[in-house]
Amino acid sequence: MDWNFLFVNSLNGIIYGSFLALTSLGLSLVFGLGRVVNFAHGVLYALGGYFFIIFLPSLGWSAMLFAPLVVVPLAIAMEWLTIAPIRNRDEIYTLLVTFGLSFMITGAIEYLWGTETTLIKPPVIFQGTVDILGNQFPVYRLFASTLSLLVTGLVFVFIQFTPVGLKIRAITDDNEMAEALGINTRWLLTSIFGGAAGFAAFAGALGAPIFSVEPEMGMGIIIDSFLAVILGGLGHLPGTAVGAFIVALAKSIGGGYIAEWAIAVLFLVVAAIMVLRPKGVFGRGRIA
Amino acid sequence: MAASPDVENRVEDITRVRSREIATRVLLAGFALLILAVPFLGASPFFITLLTEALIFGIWAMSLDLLVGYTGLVSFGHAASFGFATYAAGIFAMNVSADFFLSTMVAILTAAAVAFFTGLVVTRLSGIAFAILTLCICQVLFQISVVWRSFTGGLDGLIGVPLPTLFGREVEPGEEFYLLTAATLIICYLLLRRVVESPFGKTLLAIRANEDRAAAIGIDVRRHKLVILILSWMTGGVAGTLFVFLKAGANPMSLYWIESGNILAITILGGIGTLFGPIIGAIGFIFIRDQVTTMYRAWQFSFGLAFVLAVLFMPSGIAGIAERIWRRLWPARS
Amino acid sequence: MAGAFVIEGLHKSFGALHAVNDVSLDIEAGQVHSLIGPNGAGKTTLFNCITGFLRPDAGKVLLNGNDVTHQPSHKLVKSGIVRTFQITQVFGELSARENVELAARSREGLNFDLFRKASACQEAREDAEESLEVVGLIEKAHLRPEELGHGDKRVLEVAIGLALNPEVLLLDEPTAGMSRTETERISRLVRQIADRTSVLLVEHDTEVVLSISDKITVMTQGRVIAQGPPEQISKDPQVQDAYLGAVEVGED
Repeated sequence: MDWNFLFVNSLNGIIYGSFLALTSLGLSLVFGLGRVVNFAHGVLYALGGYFFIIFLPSLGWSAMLFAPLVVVPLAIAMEWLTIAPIRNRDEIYTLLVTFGLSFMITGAIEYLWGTETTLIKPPVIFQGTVDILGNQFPVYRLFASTLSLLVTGLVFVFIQFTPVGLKIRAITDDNEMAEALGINTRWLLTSIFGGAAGFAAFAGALGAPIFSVEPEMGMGIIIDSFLAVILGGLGHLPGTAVGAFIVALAKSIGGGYIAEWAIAVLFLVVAAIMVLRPKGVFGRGRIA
Repeated sequence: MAASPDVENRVEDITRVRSREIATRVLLAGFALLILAVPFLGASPFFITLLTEALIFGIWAMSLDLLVGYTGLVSFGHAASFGFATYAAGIFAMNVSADFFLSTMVAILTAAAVAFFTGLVVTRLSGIAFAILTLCICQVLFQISVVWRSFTGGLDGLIGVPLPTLFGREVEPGEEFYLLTAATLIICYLLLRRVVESPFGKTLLAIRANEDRAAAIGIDVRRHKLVILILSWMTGGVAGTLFVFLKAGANPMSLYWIESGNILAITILGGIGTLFGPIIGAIGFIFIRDQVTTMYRAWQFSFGLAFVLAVLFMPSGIAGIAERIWRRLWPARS
Repeated sequence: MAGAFVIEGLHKSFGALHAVNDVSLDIEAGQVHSLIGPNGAGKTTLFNCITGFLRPDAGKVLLNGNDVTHQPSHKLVKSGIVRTFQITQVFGELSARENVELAARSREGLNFDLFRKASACQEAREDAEESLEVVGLIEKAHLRPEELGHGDKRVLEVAIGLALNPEVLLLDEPTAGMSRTETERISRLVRQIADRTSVLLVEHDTEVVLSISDKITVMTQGRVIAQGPPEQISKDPQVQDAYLGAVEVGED
């Protein structure tokens, strides 16, 4: 067995995992809060990447912050126009609508910016490599995943230790009770939807120099995020982060052939979790 | 509250309902005849091939309607029913016999077997959980088709599936194969029509409305879901068989989850719970996609937009609108 | 046909809450047995345990001496234990007749019949008509539930239950939200159907309960506090304290 090969792949897995954690977290939060399964979360990530490369020539690396700033209002508009009107219908409609939205937005990206894959170089100060156990590793990867983890950590702190975070946890635990206590879930859901979109877009921008930018990037990450979120338990944030790393490592260890098998097994494990959890991952106690 | 005095007026006149039913049948029969007549109306070979693909998608969408429309189970894994059958029929045709009936049988049985094992698990769930679980299982099957290279050809898929034979005679591509497809579609429609109008079909409506309530009138909800899943996948298998012969090959991408999403959108746009609507949805989808994409690059955007608007504003789809107009033309209330 | 229905020592708890605590009932064939108690007394939980929607932690359910505990809901229906729901849950897209026919076909074991038209099942049609006749809905059989009044909808629930040919019919608050006349109509109906099925009735309206029951069980906080014929229950000081008195004062 080639231990070094395994090591490099694992390291790449951890790097992908740190991005996946950030996107999955948003997915998990939005579901926990509003029982909205946001299929379009992936294309918001993609939009982050695209706005980043569009702003890059004029704004330089601050584009990384401006990209999410454009995506957030878009996401809020999306929530107002398509998700809010169907909140009283069966939850499955949120899944259908957001699935349609991801088709739409992927289509819009292809229409506006073409189907090519865009590669960009990391900023000059991060262009070197570092030596890790004899492997030359790009500095930017280490920097970006550290930053991504840092932001993920900040989200945790926000949820755990701020009054708004407390509200969010209260609603996730018991929506009706929270509303009875006078917490305005409607407003909070819209803000969290926007916030989650912002973090997804930031991940897309930050990851652009590593994973490159292409129209289907959102469709790829959304499935991985779903897996991470289900592995970790929907609405359960630390679990979601752990789930993200499991998914990312499974996809990268051993490379090609073994990874294909690992992914098949991963889907099986997730399927098993969904069935074996007493009320199902998405379940609700619905008696008479 | 007593029944309002105008109740009598709201009652549909039985004879008028009858006449509308007969008119609907005439319309459907006319549509069937039209489909069968297309090759004799001087359609171009290109048009024939495109329509063949559209009708195959029609069978596939109809099979999904059994789940989504009639049972209320939104499946995001329906690509598996189709994709698995393309491999089963393709491998059988390449190695054993290209007889259309035998290949179809092999594909149907394979689809039924996979549906059975899938069903043991997915029938425990409904709603969002059902949707995501079917997506996961479809991806497992997709990964298997990619990894199991010796059998499936990996990412390249199957290449060189022979032409099908019917009663020992090769079916020529083009018009002959089109007629085979059209006849299969009509047979599938008639069989499924029977299924949804049978006592079994009516219990599905009860399950769709409320699973607990259905159980409370003695319906074994899980077993019904299992049976309809198997029937649905078998029908999807018929579509897969036709497809592998049309394309003379199979590709793992037809098992990919985005295909499941496509067929789901086609079915919903066409109009769920009608069987007929999904056929219209499929014809519309294939023609617009293949005719328009070259000129109109915003195709995928428009398709997504149409789907979003349909879910938001007209969940009954094209068929729902058509039915409303039809009812207006043949009013049954005095 | 009415059957004898016995519940022995049923328990169900959710965490630390004993929702149903050692409840025993004994319903003789053809009796109307009522279950009363304040909100949260555990009546609906008991119902759900008996009808297979919840798994009881302990205890037995016996129908004509046969143990039917832990059977899934749909099998219980086949055995003869049929329930209605507190919230009216008839199938909205079907007419009243079709709703009842669905139940009749289910009873006749046609649920898996794929080879004929549902509308051609003659026996189910006749059974459905008979049920609708019994409850007095036959003239409105062609209407959809949304076109029926609230009272008619609850009556339709009873018709669906009857079409399943139960040995014991469990009615969950059939008079909830009803006017005086409608309540009387339901009361008469319950009394009337008792010759074909035993009835277990969960009910809030004490007047109804006292007038139509053969036997009454009073529950509070998951426990049975009294059991007996109406005369005895209405005089029971413990019951008056816990329940009846309070309601009567509240109503006056």
